[in-house]
Amino acid sequence: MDEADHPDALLATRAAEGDADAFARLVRRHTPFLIAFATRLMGSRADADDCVQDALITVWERLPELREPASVRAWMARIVSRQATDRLRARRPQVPIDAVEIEASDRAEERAELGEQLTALSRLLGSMPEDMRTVWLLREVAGSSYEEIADVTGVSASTVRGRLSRARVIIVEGMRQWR
Amino acid sequence: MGYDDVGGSGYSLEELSAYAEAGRTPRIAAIESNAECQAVLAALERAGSLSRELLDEEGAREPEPGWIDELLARVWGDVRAGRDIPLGGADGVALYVTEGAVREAMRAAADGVDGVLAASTHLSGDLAAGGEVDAEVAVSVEYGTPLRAAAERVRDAVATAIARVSPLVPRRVDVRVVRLHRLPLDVEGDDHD
Repeated sequence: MDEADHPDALLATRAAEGDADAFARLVRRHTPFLIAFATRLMGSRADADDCVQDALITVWERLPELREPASVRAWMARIVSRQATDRLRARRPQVPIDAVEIEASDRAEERAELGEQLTALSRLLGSMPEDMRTVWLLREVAGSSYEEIADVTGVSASTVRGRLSRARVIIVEGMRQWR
Repeated sequence: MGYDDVGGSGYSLEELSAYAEAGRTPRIAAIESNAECQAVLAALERAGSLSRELLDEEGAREPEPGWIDELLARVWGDVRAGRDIPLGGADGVALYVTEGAVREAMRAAADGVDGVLAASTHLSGDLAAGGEVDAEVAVSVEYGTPLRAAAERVRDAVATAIARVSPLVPRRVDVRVVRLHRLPLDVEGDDHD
């Protein structure tokens, strides 16, 4: 049977009971997305690679705890976010947020082919404070609940609500200026 | 402009977001009839879908070659072996097959049946040489495959596999069809939208 045909739920169930081959397929399928996700969170591709690699080790270790194998991708994204949040917290004193912003907008310019709106959004996300960007991406891209985001970022659900609310203001405000 | 009371509707941006997340039900006329609220709702929705699109675009780029192999090598050292099943031995040499390896053989046997993909496996009973065991295999079967015939083939294949790779005696092999899949259209793990 062709390996592309295995649905996520099946691969996750098998990987959870130790099928390393199933895990490899799962990783190959989702790593490009997870690296893109981590790059957005961390602001740098090199950091993202390390972050995702460590996160995937955690994914392997914790797969037996996954209760809904069909949503394995969102679950992996949350583990990546937790890893990214920890790393950002650890490096915060050394790297000013400005550096992250600049790098994010440089990347956006390299990819003019993404289209004007994507480029504008990319720049907007890059200029957003990192705690707001994290909750926005977890909510909108990974589809996480407030409680899940709170768990990943180590703050209360009401703090998550507040950050998301400020992120939305920035986004709506920013999009208004595109027109 | 203020986001505490969008367009004089009496609703804040946060309330509008909650409304959008609830699928705009129950319907609130003060929001639906307010042009400013509609513009904000459209912007939020667009920003969400653009964010997903952005990540998908960026995710189209593969990681460095070797990156995944390096990761898998780290994981490979930690295969879930499970319990040891003695194969017997002589002259102080102990031979074992692990429960993990037996379950791998069970999965492979089920996969080998046309239209069948193994999901989970379970092994219980006496895991000693010659011990009688009960096995259970959960499978996904391709839509249109006659279920009973497929399940019987899985049962035979799994029993044969257990006896081939281990000294265990399969007493009972239960097959549960937990899912039907349609190939190759239904790679449903990929519907991330």
